[in-house]
Amino acid sequence: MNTWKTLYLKEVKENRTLFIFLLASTACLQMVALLSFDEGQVVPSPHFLWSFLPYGSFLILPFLLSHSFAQELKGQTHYLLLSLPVSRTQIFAAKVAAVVTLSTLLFILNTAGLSMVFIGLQNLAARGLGLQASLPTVDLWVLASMFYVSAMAVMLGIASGIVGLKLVVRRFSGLAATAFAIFVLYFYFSTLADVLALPAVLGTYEASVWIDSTNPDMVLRMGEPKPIVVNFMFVAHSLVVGLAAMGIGMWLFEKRAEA
Amino acid sequence: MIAVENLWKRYRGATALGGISLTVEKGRVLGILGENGSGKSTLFKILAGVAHASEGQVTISGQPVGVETRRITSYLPETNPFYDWMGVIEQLEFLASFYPGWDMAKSRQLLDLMNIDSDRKVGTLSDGQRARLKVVAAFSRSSQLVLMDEPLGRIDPPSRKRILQILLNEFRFGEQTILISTHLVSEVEELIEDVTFLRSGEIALSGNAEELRQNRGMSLSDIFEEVVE
Repeated sequence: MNTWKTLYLKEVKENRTLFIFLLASTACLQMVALLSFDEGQVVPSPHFLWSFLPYGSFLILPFLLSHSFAQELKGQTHYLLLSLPVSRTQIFAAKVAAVVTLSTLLFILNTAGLSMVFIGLQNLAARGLGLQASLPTVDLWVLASMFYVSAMAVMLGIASGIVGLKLVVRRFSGLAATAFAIFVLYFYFSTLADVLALPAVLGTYEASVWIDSTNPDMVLRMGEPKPIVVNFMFVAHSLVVGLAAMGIGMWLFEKRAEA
Repeated sequence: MIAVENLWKRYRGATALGGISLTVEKGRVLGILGENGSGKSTLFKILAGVAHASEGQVTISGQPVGVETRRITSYLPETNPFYDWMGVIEQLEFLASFYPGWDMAKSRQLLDLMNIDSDRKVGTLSDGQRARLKVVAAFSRSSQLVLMDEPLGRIDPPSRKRILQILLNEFRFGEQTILISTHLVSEVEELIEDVTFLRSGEIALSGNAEELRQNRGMSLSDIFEEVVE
């Protein structure tokens, strides 16, 4: 077995309880959302909104990375890790890969659940009770992928950068971490408009995802009944910013990590 | 085998190693003796590649410390570096996948010798058993250099000398160079061939153990008290 794979599997096994918990929680939320539909229903139950909640994992998951490094220090297992005949970058990459694996599994499970919820909403709309919806499954997957990948890239970059930064800044490390996160987010959003103004060399995607109601008992609106055009430069920009921040973290870890 | 030249290590203003120079020939057993805080562990960390030198040069088999030297070095840190959630065999197999020369049959033999139940999780082992597991990990492969940082600390006193003797006589791979750091001088006195006494991050005395004993007419324990304390 190659060394990278061994490190990666160690990370997955070490965090398996959390992995299972998060996947099971996501599955439960999707079940609650799906069970909110029934045969004689006129108005969708608000419980279907639970289906969107697990996407919030992009705010938490990257910090699993910081937690993982902190656990190594706490358990003093970093002595073993750092003495292995592998580069520090490989150790770091294995931890990042474990987080990416979990977030990918969560994303797939969640979007599959949401697809079924959308089918339920479309079935309701088909009864002609005042609910109108355009919820193509392909559009859902493409849009969700673009936004989730972008958000994860930036957040994972921030978390990685913080791991590296904490090796350099010993005093006020919390303050330095916050400043770094604010800086990356500021840079990301302040340059986003300029990037999107550039020619869409990577292409665009036109999606039509919306829900509207004319029934006064049913206050529900999501999106506009017109196509959404998403520029792939948005994803590229997020990946570039995220990878740059991650690069800083990895470089600092390679140069400064020690027991 | 090991060449250390003007090695400095500073931690936020405090000097752990103050410009030490040292050479160790291949196949020797060297004792690094000093009180707590004398810089023994710091020196071992740098040799093992888990800490960076602030200044100076360190080479092992002619190569600067890095991935290649870590491949030929077995390091037993003073702390317990194992994952509590892993089983004993799982932990050894994890390590084995990084070192081509790992001998799993030897691991099992050593586990028997050290009286460690291989079916248990690392987290359920006592401190003493974990210390013995470090020894198993260090001697299960044909590394060229073994760094044992306070290897006896958590092992029960009656077994210490016996374990070290068996390891060096029966489980040593060929001409392994072995560095043992300790402040329990009497327990390694008969095993070490060369000795370096560290005091406040500097070398206080260094030489062949037998010659030092003869020249000074006293045991290493007595020299330790005279030189270091």
